[in-house]
Amino acid sequence: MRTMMTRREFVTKGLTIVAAGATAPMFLTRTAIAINNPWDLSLTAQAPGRPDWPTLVVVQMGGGNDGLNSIVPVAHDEYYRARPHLAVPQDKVLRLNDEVGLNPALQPLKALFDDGRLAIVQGVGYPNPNRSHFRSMEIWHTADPAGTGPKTGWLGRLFDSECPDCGEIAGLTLSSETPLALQGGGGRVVALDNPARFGFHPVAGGGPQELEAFRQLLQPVASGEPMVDFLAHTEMNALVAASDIGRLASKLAGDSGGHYAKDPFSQKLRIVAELIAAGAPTRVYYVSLGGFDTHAAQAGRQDRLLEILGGGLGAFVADIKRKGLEERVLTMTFSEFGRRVAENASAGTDHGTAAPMFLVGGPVRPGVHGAHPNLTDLDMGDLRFGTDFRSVYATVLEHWMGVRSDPILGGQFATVDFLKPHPGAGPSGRVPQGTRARRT
Amino acid sequence: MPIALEPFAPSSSDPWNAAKAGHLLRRAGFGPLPEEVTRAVAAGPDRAVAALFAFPQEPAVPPIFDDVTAAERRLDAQLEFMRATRQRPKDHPELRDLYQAVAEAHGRAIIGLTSWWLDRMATTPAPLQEKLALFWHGHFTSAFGDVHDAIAMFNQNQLFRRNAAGNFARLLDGVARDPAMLRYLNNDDNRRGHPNENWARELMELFTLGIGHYGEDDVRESARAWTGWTLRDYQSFEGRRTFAFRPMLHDAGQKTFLGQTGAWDGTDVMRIILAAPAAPRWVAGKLAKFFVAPQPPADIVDAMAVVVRDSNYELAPVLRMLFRSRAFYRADVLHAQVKSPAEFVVGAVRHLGVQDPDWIRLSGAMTLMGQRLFFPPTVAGWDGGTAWMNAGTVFTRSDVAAALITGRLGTPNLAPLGSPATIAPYLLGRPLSAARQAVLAQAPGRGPAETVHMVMLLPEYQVA
Repeated sequence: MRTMMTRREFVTKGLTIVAAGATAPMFLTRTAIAINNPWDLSLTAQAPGRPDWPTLVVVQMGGGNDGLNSIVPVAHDEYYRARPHLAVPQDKVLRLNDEVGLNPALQPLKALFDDGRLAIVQGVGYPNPNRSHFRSMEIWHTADPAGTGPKTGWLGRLFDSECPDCGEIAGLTLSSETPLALQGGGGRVVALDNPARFGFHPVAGGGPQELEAFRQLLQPVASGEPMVDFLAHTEMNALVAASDIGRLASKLAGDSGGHYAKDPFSQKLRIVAELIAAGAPTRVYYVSLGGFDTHAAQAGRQDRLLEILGGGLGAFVADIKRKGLEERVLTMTFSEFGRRVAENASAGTDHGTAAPMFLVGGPVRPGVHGAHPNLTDLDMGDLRFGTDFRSVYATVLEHWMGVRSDPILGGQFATVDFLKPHPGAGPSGRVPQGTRARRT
Repeated sequence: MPIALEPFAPSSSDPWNAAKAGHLLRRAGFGPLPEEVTRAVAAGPDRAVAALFAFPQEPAVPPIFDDVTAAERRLDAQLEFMRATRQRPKDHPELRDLYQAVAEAHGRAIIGLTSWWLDRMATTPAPLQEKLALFWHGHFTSAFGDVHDAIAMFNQNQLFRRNAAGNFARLLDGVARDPAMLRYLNNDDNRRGHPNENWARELMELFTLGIGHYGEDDVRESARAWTGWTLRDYQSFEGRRTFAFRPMLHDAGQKTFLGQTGAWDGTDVMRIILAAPAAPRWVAGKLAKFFVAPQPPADIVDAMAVVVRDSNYELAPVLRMLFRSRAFYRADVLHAQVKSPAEFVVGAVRHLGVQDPDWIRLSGAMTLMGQRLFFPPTVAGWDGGTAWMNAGTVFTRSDVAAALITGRLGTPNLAPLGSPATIAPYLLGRPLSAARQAVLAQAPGRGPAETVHMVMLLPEYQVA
């Protein structure tokens, strides 16, 4: 028999528990709800060698980042022939090995690579690639290229399947909309721009009792109107999340360290680092950088975006290290597709297919993983993928989050060797499934 | 007439009343006031719906572009002088400052334009026209961040206003020649031998057909047909704001597009697309998602598609029929939509009688709520519906409501809202449920400001 608090009980009791815990240690909410939380048990007690509370930061590069000008195949003449205007000159490329190197705009990633904190998976894609931004983004978010499964996100399903009564902030996105990737059946995702401003503020001249009144007003009443009921639920969840975030606020305000640039992407990563350090009960953070749809005048624009990306990630990793959290945080980048091998007339590139992914942080096994896609055997002018993106997801889920991936991804995908083995894990680095605890 | 759009016939058991008239005015506008609802009830459904379509003349160019034109004129003059005297730009570092001045002037102008549009939404006698302009802005998206030209964005905004309830085919033709769109989706760079597929793809995927009704080959062939649809010239700012078809850049060869072969150009592509059965349904589906519900009932969409097709893409008939239909007032349509940030903010300004609203800060708040006008997040526009509401946007709505109530974003007049007992019906257009009204009545600290604030946070105030 499950004895977990029901979701509704948590929504009502949770506030009280949190409010009582001003002096409690880190992960207060987690402690409050971990009474019956199988996720905690599996991740800490039953996943030997796993760091306490492994955290994933997902970086979405929206618009379709040109992989070939990110990880440049310097050794391939076909690349230079296909891109007379756009190819990165050989002497500018930051070499990673004999075959490929980084775009010079990614200098901070080269430093991370040399420091053993960057893994690259080349040629990531999926069968029958879709060249629509929206459909391909949806495929990456749902991990469902066939489009036959539920329209939920792979991370949302992680929260649903492994963390049934976790707090309201299992996922946190620094944006005004919740990406599909984080949407599951149960919510538990918070979208916010700025944790310092996030929360309920009574009208000026009013008092704290307005919050209590508002909370009472949101108590479920059967309105008979599904949208009203949905919004009441959303607003109640917001109050619960605000009380969690509010508890962290003093710690957030105190830390101005780190050397982040002023651009919004870097500032979002700064907030993520602060939230992690403050002990936010969050497993997955989501940060987006858009504008990679470089149909025209690609060079300057992509360079600038890669500078922002590399600068932000470099500052983030340094900050996380300074905070002593280096082994607890893994960052993964993705884009909905790469771009056409041949440049177009506008010194840009049109929608393509396979592209590399970056995995950044202390936990990675550094290096270039997977073969570079063949530049002569093309599919309608586009690269053929070598690694299914669901293999990357499976690796993150199993070897980092410590959960079974097949129920979440709808099948078993081979994992990729881009994470360091953890002491105590099996020879394959895989979490022994049979020993995972389930509170029944 | 399709059965799902049969007209609503008032009867003594199901009269035309404030609930229905309020619903109509909320969907067709921005936060109707009680007296407007009363007038629509008195008018009856026929005249209330007809009145929505009395659009005023096209508004004059707002006086916000003077800086832009002055800065552009200075730069154009300098460039003209240099061309005449055969000087090279790189020998003239002062050009950099002139370019910078132009960019900054456009940046200020887009803020001014945003304020102008929000103010127009709040004060126009024809809110449906602005509601439709907002709909088309989210459908035929262009973003200032890529276009970099506030005048081009204004011209596009006027195109949407002029054709708001006109003919979709004519609007599409205008969009295909619209300089902001040509720049946003790069068709200005699409030329013979070197096609750029951006516009050709989104035209079908997002604007007319939807995924599944064309193939990758159709994208490539369509891109060829659109070559040469570009801007007049790049020598002046005016040239960059003027459409031209340039035959030298056009690929006049044979193309096979959606199964038809010919020496097609853009006009042919539009004609072939609009003859496809999927096109009227796509247009109807987008309208229904906006005006009916985030997931509109299929019977309504199907019926709307028939009307769109049979009227040769005239938009007023389908909208009029929808607003007049029994189905529009069904339980699965009433209160089934979520107010967009524009509806929430403009409606709040109207409900609270705010004089001299600070539209600049209000539009900044709308950005935090997920809707920055002239900056749609992607070429697909705004998802809308439930995507508007999450923990972050809930609190932004709360903070904006509090700031409006307490006069930090203009001067409100709360007197018409009356007493705590009448505040909720005033703002919601209907009585609050007994259970919530009881809580509201007993809430501690229930001054008028707090009561207004709490009502504006209720789920009932977020729905339209």
